[in-house]
Parts: sequence; structure tokens; C-alpha cells
Amino acid sequence: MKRMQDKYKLSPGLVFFVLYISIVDTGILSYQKVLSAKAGYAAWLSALITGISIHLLIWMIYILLRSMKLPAGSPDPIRDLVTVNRICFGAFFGKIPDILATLYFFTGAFILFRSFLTVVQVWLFPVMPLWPVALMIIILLYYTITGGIRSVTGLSFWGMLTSLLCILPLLFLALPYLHPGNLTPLMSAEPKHYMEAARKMVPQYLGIEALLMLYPLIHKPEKSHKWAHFSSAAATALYLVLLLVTYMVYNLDQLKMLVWPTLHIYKVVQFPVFQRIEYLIVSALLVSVSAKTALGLWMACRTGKRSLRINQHYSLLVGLGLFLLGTILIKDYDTIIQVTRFYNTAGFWFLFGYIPLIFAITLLKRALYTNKSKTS
Amino acid sequence: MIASIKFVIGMILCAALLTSCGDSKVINKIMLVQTLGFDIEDDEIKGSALIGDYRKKNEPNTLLMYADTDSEFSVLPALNTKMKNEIEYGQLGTIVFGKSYASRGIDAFMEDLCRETRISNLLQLAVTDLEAKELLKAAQRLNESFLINEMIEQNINNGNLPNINLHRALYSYYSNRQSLFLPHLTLRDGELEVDGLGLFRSGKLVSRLNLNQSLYLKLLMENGKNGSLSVPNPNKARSSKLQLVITASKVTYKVTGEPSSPNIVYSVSINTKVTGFPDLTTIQDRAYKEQLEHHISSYCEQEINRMLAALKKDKLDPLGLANKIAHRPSAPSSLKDTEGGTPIHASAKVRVHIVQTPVDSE
Repeated sequence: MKRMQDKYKLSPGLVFFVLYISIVDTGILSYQKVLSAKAGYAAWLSALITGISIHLLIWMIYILLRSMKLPAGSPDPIRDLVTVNRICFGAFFGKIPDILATLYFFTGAFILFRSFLTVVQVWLFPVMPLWPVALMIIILLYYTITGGIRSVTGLSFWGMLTSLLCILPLLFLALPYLHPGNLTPLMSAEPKHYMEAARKMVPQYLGIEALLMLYPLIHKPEKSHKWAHFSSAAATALYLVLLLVTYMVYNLDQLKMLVWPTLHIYKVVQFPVFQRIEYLIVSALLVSVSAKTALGLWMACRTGKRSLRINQHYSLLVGLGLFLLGTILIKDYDTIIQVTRFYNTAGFWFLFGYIPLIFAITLLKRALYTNKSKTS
Repeated sequence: MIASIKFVIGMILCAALLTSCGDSKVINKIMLVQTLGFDIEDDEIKGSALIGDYRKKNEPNTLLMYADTDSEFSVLPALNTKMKNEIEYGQLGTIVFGKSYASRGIDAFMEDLCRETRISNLLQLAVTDLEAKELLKAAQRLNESFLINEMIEQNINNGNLPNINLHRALYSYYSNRQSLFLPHLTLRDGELEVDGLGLFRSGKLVSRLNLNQSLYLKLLMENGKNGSLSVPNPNKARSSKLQLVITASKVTYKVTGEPSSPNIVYSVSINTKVTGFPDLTTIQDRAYKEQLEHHISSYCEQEINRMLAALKKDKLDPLGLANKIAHRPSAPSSLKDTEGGTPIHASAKVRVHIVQTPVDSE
């Protein structure tokens, strides 16, 4: 496969934006109620536990990609998921996880795309058909992805900026409505409930696996390691602070009733010239949602190209066509919820099952090669 | 070149998206419901709505419409059947519950309001001892569809009502230990008047606080800069009442007593101006001022403690006393499972400081 020239690669610092956008998506509108259902007001600790465990996974990804080793005489591999699968499971069986990963990346992108359309439909245009909005976003996605990973990264930068501009002011605007007493006692849940809530927090971080495909496209990738950790830490800080604010604004019974608590908080904010600021927020979120969807689709197409030699442009067109078809066919929210649950379970095992597995196999194989070369 | 064209196409598409894809509604082709009223009679919901009519330029008109339905959620569709233009409720400012409706319970409505995405959480809920439609009629006579909302807001900002809106009401409603309270309105000589707060237990109107008691509640709930109060004049020879205008107040509380029987003690510090005082020069006298401050402090303290005792007796907790205790590590386990009106003992200490009115002593 033709290698990308260095001048087209991503600077290490840009990993910060791509990884941030791959973590923070529409889940930020509703994750609070899922956590509180398990550990009540004390679920902030679970968010912290998950955040820390994600750092461990990022470390694993970097170590496994950096240390992968092919038999002596082989050219330096393209250090991504496809090569890892090849090393761990062989040329034939390695294609099975490749195909599963392609489907997983595509499903993740579609769920995000469809979930955002649901927010638009419920909050902005309850009576409008979805397909015109979907078509607009699809054209935007096509434009972004055909521009390559650098276009996707550019959109990620703007996506991060808009998501911060949307969320950070909320922390101050909600000040008059805070009940700090809700957070006490600080650790009121059972250890079992903390762990259950921590597991429920994992879907918020689905997207860090993008590193497995981005790594070979980063200029001096080892230098991006710290940026990946900074990015994850920034996302965790945002999740944590927003979680605390939400728990101070609502009581638990009220939280259960709300589908998107973050958007509901905006309902207490009003400016003289802009009475319903949450409408602006939903519109602005389009940028960050588009960025993450584009990244997911790009990863799906890239995996298909690397593993199955499918032309990236054609697979993109097919993927976007499926997006439109899915928007038209999936009408009820329950179906989206079911697909999301399935994807979240798959994502959990991808992060906490598959990544540690390939990490262990890669290190084991490396140790074996090293021993062999020493003995020979 | 191709990249530039792509970029321009992308931007145009984004702009098209931001213009809401053409789903526009012209203001003079929709009817904006701005105040809603609910009464109940023989299990039938009597809805009334004040609707802003902006069809004539610079001549806003207020329509009052009625709809009798079997459910509160059918009121707007029922109103729609009577209108030439479509009804929209995104600008809804106030919902008034008539006495009959509020006494039966507002549960169903609150759950719907909690999930509603089209109305602002700054909306005001109110309750009346009359029929809601009577209040809406009075507002319509003045041709002001937002009148009730503005009255309530004005009384929160400058008067005796504590800070309340839909968001705060929902917080109280969904807190199983805190009692919901809403502004109480009535008609006096045919004119609308805010006359205190209505108190709810388990979603049902059960009691009322007058305007003075509303101020006491406000003083215990928030640091304020407004409110007025009349207290008896200690000098019987002069006018029978002193009128106080609060310029600033500060409240703190501490929990005392055993964990099994906690007691909340509030400390309220009030800065006030005395208006309508017949002889202002006497307030310049330090000893008399201190005596007057002591008198006002004792009076307020006595009245606040009386109100707190009455609330405890009625098992009403608008201050969220039980919440304050339940979130403490030493909270009795019984309190954590107890619903609504958990009787927690509370008392207040009040310190009043009279802000001197400048008087030319020469």
C-alpha cells in the first residue's frame, strides 16, 4: 500500500482535537441520568474511575502500536489495527476482526448521526421530515471525508471549539440554580454501584479506538502520546464538571424524567435578544457531531480499504447511502435505543476486552521474536 | 479551484441548514398562547387561554378563549378547533391553576411540564382561590396577555415573593421532602392582586401564606434586596404601623441538636429603611434607633418562628429543611426514606439594622 508523505500527515498536537471530538458527542446531553440511575449523586466518582481507565487504554494502544514487530526481513508495517490483527490472528483469520471493526466503526457513526437527527426533530422541528436535514449533513460529510483525514481533523478543531462554547458557559449560567447540598455526602453509594455506573460511563469514551487507525497518519506518532492523554483528561474534566453541575441543578427523580438533561438546563437561561438558547446549542452541536461522524465513517472506509482492498470513495458513497436509507427506515426512538445498547455493549468489549487482548498478544509475540533473534 | 468550489458548496449547505430548512412561521399567521388557566368542574377540565393577536401592526390585541375537555392535554387542541390560525405555545408565560383544579392535584400537569421542550423553564406557575378564568378575564380587560406573568416577576424582583419559576417549582415538586409553593393571586375590587403563596402537599393545594409570611419565607431562602413589611409601632402615641423597606438581607443556617432530632437555626440579618415614620429626627437618636431595631428584630423573629411552627404542624416544608438534613452524613436513616413534610424543627434569629435616612439637623 502506498504510504502517505510526511507533509500530508497530522502534527502530533492535532491528535488532541481529533481524540477530544471522538470522545465528546451527543452523549454529553444525556449521560448524567444513566449514571445517577446506578450510583445516585455519588456517580461523579464513577466518571472519574472510567476517565482514569481510559488513560490506561490509551497507554496500551500506543505501546502496542509502537512495539509491534514483524518477522525479521519484513518491511516496517503500517502501524494500525489491520496490521495488528494480521500479526495477532494471521492473514486469513485477521480479516474477521477487520470486518467486525469496519461494521463497528460504521455503526458508531450512524448511531451518532441518527441520534443527532432525533434531537433536532424533538427539539427544533417536530413536524418536519428528517430526510432533508439528513441529506444536507450527508453532503457535508461527503465533502469533509473526501478531503481526507486533514479535513476531518480541521472539522474536529471547530467541533471541539463549538462543544466547549456550548457547554462551558452553562456552568456559569446555571449558578443561581445550584443546590450544592445535593452532592453530600460525597461517597454515598456501594462499591458495586460505583462500578456499575463506571461501566455505564464507558460508552461516552467510545471513539478513542480511532487512535488505532490514526496512528500511522501522525507525523512522529510517539510525540502525540501526551496529547492523547491531555485530550482524554480534558474530556473527563468536562464530563465531571457537567455531571456535578447537573446533580446540583436537578434532584434525582426529576433527572429520571428528562431525556436530555444538559439541554433542559439551558431552558433556565434567557437573553433579551435570544430567549431560547438551547435552539442555538442544538444547531451548533452539528459541527462536533459532523466531525465525529466523519471520523467514524473515514475509519470504516479506511479499514475496508486496508483489509479488503475496497475503494475508499465507493465505500464512502455506499456508507452515506446507507445513512440516508437508515434515516428514512428507522423512525421510532426505541429502535435507535436498541441499536445503541447493542453498540455500547460491543464498544465496551472492544475497549476493555479486545484492546487488552491484542495488547497482550502483541507484547507476547514481540517477546518471542526478541528471544528467537537472540538465540539465533 | 475544485477545493474552493467544494468549500463554497459546503458553506452554502451549512447556511441553508441554519436557516431551518424553510420551516418558517410568520408571526401574524399564528396565535401565541401567553397565559393558560385551568379549572375543574364535575370532572371536566375548563381551560382558558389569553392569546396575543399581532395581526394588526402596532395594535396588539388580547383574545380570551375557553375550551372544555376531559383532559388538560386536550385543551390546546380544543382551542385550535376554534381558531382561524394555528395556536403555538412556545411563548407561554404563565399557567394559572384555579382553586378547584389545584385542590384536586396538579401531578399530571407537572410531569408533562418537566418533559416539555417547547416552553421556557422561566415560565411562571400560579394558583388562585378563585377560578383561573376570572383572573384571565381581568387581564384581558386591560388588554395585556402577559399581565399575570409580569405581575409575578415584578413581585419577585421588587416585592415579597421569593424567587420562583417553573424550574424551581419542578425541583420542589420532584423533591419528595420539599413542599411546592406557587405565587397566589386573587381579585380585589375586580383588579388582579398578588396576595401571597399557595402551598402544596403531594401535588395538592393545602395551605396559603400571606404576603408578610411570603417575605419571611423569602428572607429564609435567599439573600435579598427587596421586600416590604409593616410592623407595629412601639410608640403607641404615633402611627399604629411602621413600614419597612428591606434594602438587603443575608441568611445563614446551622444544624444543631442530636443526629436523631436535628434542629435548624437560621440567622437572618436585615438592612431596612423605615418609611412613613412621622418624626424622622427621632431615628437619628442612637439609643432610640437601637431600641427600635431591637423591637423590629423581636417582632420579625417572633413572626418567623410562629410561621415555622405552623408549617411544621401542617407537615409542610417549603424551605427544604428535611433535604438539608438528609444530605448530611449524620442524617437519621428514617429521614432518607420519608416522603414530604418530614417535621424538622427550625427556628430563626433575626438582627435588624435600620439604614439611616439622611435628615438635615439644622
